[in-house]
Amino acid sequence: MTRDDSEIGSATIRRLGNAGLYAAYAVAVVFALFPIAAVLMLSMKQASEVFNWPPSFFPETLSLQTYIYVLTETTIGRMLWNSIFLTLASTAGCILISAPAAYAFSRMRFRAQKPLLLTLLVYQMISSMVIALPLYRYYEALGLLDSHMGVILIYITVEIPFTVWLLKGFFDAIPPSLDEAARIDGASRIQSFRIIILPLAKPGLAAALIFNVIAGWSQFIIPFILLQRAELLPISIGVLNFAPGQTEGEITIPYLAAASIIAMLPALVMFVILQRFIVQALTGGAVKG
Amino acid sequence: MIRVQGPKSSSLWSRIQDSPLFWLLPALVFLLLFYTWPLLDVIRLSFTNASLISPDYTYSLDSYRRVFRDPATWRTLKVTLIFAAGSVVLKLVLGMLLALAIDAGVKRGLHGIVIVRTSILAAWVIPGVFVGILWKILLSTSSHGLLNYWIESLSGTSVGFLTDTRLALGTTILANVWRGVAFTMILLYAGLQRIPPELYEAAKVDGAGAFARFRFVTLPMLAPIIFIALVLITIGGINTFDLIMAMTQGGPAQATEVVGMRVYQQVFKFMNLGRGAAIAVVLLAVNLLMTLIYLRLLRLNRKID
Amino acid sequence: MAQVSIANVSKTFGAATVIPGVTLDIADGEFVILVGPSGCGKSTLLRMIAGLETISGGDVLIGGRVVNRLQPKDRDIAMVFQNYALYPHMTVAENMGFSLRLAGESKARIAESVTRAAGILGLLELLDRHPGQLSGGQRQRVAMGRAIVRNPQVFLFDEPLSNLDAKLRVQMRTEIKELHQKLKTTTIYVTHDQIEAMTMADKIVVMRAGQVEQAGPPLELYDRPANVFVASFIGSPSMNLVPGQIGDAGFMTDAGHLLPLGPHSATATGRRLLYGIRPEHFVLADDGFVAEVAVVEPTGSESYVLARIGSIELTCVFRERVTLRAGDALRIRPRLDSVHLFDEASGRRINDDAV
Repeated sequence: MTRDDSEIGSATIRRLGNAGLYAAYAVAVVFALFPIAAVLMLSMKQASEVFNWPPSFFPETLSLQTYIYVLTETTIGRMLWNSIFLTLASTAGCILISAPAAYAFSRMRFRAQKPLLLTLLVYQMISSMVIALPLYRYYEALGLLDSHMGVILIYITVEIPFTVWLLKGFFDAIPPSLDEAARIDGASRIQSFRIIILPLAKPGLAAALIFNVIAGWSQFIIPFILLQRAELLPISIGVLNFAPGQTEGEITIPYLAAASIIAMLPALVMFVILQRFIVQALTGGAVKG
Repeated sequence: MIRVQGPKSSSLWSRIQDSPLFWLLPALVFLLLFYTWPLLDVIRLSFTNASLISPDYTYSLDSYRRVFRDPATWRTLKVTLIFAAGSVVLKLVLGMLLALAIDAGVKRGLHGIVIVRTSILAAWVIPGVFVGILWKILLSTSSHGLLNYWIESLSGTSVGFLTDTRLALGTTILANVWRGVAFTMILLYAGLQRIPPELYEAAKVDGAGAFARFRFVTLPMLAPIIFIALVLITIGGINTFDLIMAMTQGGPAQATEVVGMRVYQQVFKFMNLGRGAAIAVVLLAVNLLMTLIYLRLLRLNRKID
Repeated sequence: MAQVSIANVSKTFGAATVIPGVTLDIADGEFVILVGPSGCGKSTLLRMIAGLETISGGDVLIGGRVVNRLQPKDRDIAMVFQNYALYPHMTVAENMGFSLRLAGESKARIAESVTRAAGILGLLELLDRHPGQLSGGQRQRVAMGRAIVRNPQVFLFDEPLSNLDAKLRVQMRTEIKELHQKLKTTTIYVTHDQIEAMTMADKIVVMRAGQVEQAGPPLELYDRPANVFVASFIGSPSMNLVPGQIGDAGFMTDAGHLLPLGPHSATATGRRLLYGIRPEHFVLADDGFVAEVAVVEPTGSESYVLARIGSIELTCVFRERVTLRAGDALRIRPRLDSVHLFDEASGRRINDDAV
């Protein structure tokens, strides 16, 4: 936008506008960070403080006692490990399966291509609750219920459509003349895929990794329905058990807060590190279709 | 479409590599076994009166009849609709405002924009279940509820955000918007960048003020993206489960019982597989309808480009 | 022996026949250039020879072997692409040695071949760089180096100079020609630029709409174009073409002007013809016919003059400075041995038709 300085008092108007924008930013930041900050503060309060009236935002004394308790006395360590294991295993599996499929969609031509791509798109839109029901019976019969293996298989399946679509986009950006040059140089398709396409699609693989990890960590419906034993639960389910019901005392709130912060930490840390990539991946995302 | 093909390969291994099936097989197997088959099965089950515990069942339209006669079903659908619609409207409006604010800030060279964007985005990466718990802690009426304490000292009464049947749904919508507005904001922001600045300049010359420019340049140019965002947010909203489970478990008094919750209840609390499947198929049908709309919009979008 | 035979090769894409049938013989060591406007099928033909497109009909033989069903790597060819197609994530040395690495050659042999090729092309200091760090001309040389390392029977070039700026193109033309003289490998080269064709080829093949209009040495196409298309395509600025008929005294244009004819055997009195004379074949002569100067464009070494006789416009190129201005009168005469006659209906050159 070009500045129109011919108006009288335009500098004042601009400064007012800037002030207004800054105010809007402040509101937005507060709105966005307040819940996290409040719970963070809560998690650092001592148990005795909880009954203080009036309740204060900041803890009187910063104490990590809740964290220590939660990490050592509860099963949260086990649940964190479960989440990490499920997420990493499914991410690896999904990318291993989706990359070759994306190669086929990008570099080959076959009649089923358009309907298959369409199916992939549709599958991304369906709630996992719909398939969780029959899967429950299915797994019960197969003995896969209440097993990490079973859950990982489903995690991989629900992430395949998006990952294939994402990787295909990145593969399409690599000029086909590179494939042709490699063919003339004597490369087989697999060699071409391994030595030419994959290295050049590193940003795409990174984006797939990020999305898969976020999705895997966030999975709720599937582990909720398919896992029962406490020692198998990922943290997304497990932390619910920390939540106070109507009958539990309020003394657990700081512990719940601490547990929640611990549960969110990996996602937040990864986010801070990879913020730029996530934005990039998002803006290249849904609008392309 | 990019094709790299030529004369048929000589050796068997090369010919295998040339067939798309070789590359697609693992993905196809997974999708068939763990997605397509369950989809077909849930549709089949909806036409039965199966129960989760007993193995026998008969085929009939009974489950559907029961489901559609049940007033609870319609209440659930209404709740889901309000949840989705409320989320969509708020996300679009807030997202638009934020995108405009950030765009204006960037153009004016203001500081701290990255902080704003990062903070809003941070809420997006938090899994839905934790968002629910966060807000639940924040909004409780008990003595540690900070928000309620402030409200009480201002107005005299505490607000039962999650316990008042009239407020609970709105509260969950608020939490949903809190976590998801980043997506809309980034989408719309990217769209704003694609509007050629000459259009604004021409509008200025034609005498358009800021509001007029927004109405006649920004909105029409963003229309395709807004529609796409609309569909995506709606689908996400309709499919929400984890957030509500964590915040209210569908209560109080089923005020926040969305379709997903009802399916879960029917199947795993009341053991009604047939009926649960029927509701799930309704959910599926709504998903497919929205997907169709999404595809139509994409095709229109491509024609405009 | 690395002659290439193209025997009635055709190409169809579904229902569309883009190449009805091309027959061409390329001798061992020959530098053949396929030239023509966009869409004439030259790239398609090249890609069929390379093995990047299937051959719908006919046979392609390289060194006496039918290669229709062979993979590109088995045809003993190497290709230089228009956009170089260098692997961006590999160094120059790795790019050039890639084919040998795939073939399982030892590191020593690969290094030796790469160094040899780099030496020929002046790339020795660039071996550790990545393509992104190179200029356009350097990248093109690396692409050629990659082809040389394979030591093939045939080099295939697909419009390699199109992405370079004009000055660089002139320089690279000479380098490619020198390379060919040194290595003497059979070369098939595709371009749309007729100057490249004229300066580099042993044999030019002019193509249009999937068919060969004429094939022969450059000067033959220049001196004796088979038809109007070839005549207009070769040579810049294009040949002047004036419609009319042969009369008793010479060539009578439609507008009623008389243009002189040299000796010819065409007996085409009464047929509608085209009189063709290249701009560079006009001579300033006091005994020539009068024309009016419309535009003068001096280039330093030559002078382009647009002259008008009535409604007929003639482009002339004089290899000297002329002191003419727009509106001046001009007396010019065509070199009679460079006058071409074409049948207007078929486009065919009829100068040498038998009586």
